[in-house]
Amino acid sequence: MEELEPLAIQTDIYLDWLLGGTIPRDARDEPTAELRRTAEVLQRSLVRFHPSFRFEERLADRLRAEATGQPRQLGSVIPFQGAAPPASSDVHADGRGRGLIVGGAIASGVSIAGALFVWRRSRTGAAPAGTEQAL
Amino acid sequence: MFRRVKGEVLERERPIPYDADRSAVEAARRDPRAFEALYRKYVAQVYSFALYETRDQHAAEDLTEQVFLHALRGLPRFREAGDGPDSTFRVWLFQIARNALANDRRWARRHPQAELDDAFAVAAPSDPAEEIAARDLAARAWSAIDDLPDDRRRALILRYVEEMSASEIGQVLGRSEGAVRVLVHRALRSVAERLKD
Repeated sequence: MEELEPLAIQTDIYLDWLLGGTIPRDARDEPTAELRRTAEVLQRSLVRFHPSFRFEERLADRLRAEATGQPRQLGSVIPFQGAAPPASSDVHADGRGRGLIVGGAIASGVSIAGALFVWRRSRTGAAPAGTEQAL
Repeated sequence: MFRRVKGEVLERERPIPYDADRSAVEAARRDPRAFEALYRKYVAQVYSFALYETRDQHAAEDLTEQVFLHALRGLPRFREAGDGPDSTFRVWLFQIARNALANDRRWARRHPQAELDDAFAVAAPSDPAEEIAARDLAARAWSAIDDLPDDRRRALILRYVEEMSASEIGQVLGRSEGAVRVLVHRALRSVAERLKD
C-alpha cells in the first residue's frame, strides 16, 4: 500500500481538479491518461439522484411531527380558493373561511351519497337500477 | 501549524475546519423544527448514497428515512469535534447512513427475501444523450463499479457523488486518509481495466 500512496495522492489531486471543474493546463501527466479517461467517464456516470417529491415531502412531514412531538395529521387543512364567497355561517369571527380536510372529504362524500340513496329508495320504493335490469 | 511531539518529531497540527452547517445545527438544537433546513440540504445526498448502495428505490427511501429520524433524535448528542478535528455534520450524517446500511444488511442476511435488482435498473442514470457509444461506456463503467469490493465502491461513490474529501470519507468509513486515497486509486484502476476489455 505504501508504494501506491504517491500514485494515489496524484489521483486524488486530479480528482479534486476534475470535480472542481478546473484542470490546470500545466498539470503533469499523472495519473496516467487511462486513469484520467476513466475518471472522466465516472464523472459523467456517477450522478446524484433526488428522491421523489412525494417521498421528500412525506418525510419532511414526519420529521416536523417528530420535531414538535405531535402525532402526524392524517389530513391537512387546505384553504378552498377560487370558490364562491362562503355563507355567513361558514365564516369565522376573524374572517377566515372554513377549511377543507383532504382525506376526510372522500369518506364524507360516500356517506352523503349513501344516505341520499337510502332516502330516495324509501320515498319511491323502487329497486336500484341494476336490480331492475337483472329481474 | 506544526507542533513538537516528544521533543523530536514534528507533527502537523490540523486546524479545526469551519463547519458550514454550524449555524444550522445550532438552530436545530435550539428548535428541532429548524432541522428541516439540514434535511432539505442533505436529503438528495443521503438518498443517492442509499440508492447506489441498495440499488432499490424503496430500500433507499427506507434508509433515508431512518438516517434523518436518527439524526433528528440524536442531534443533542452530536458534537462537531466529537470524532476528530475534521468532524462535521455531514460526516456524522453519513456515518449514520453507513451504520444503518450495515444493520439493514445484517437483518437481510438473517431474513432473506426477494433478491435485489440485478442491475442498476432504478439507479441507472437517465442519459438523454444520443451517443450510443457514450451510453455503452457508461453501462460498462456501472457494471465495473458494481463488481468492486464494497469498500472501494463506497469510497468511489462518496468521492464522486458526494464530492467528499479523502479525509471526510476516512471518517465515514473508519479508515485513514491515506487508505481512502489508495482505495479510490485502486477502484479507478479496476474500472479502467474493465473499460479496456
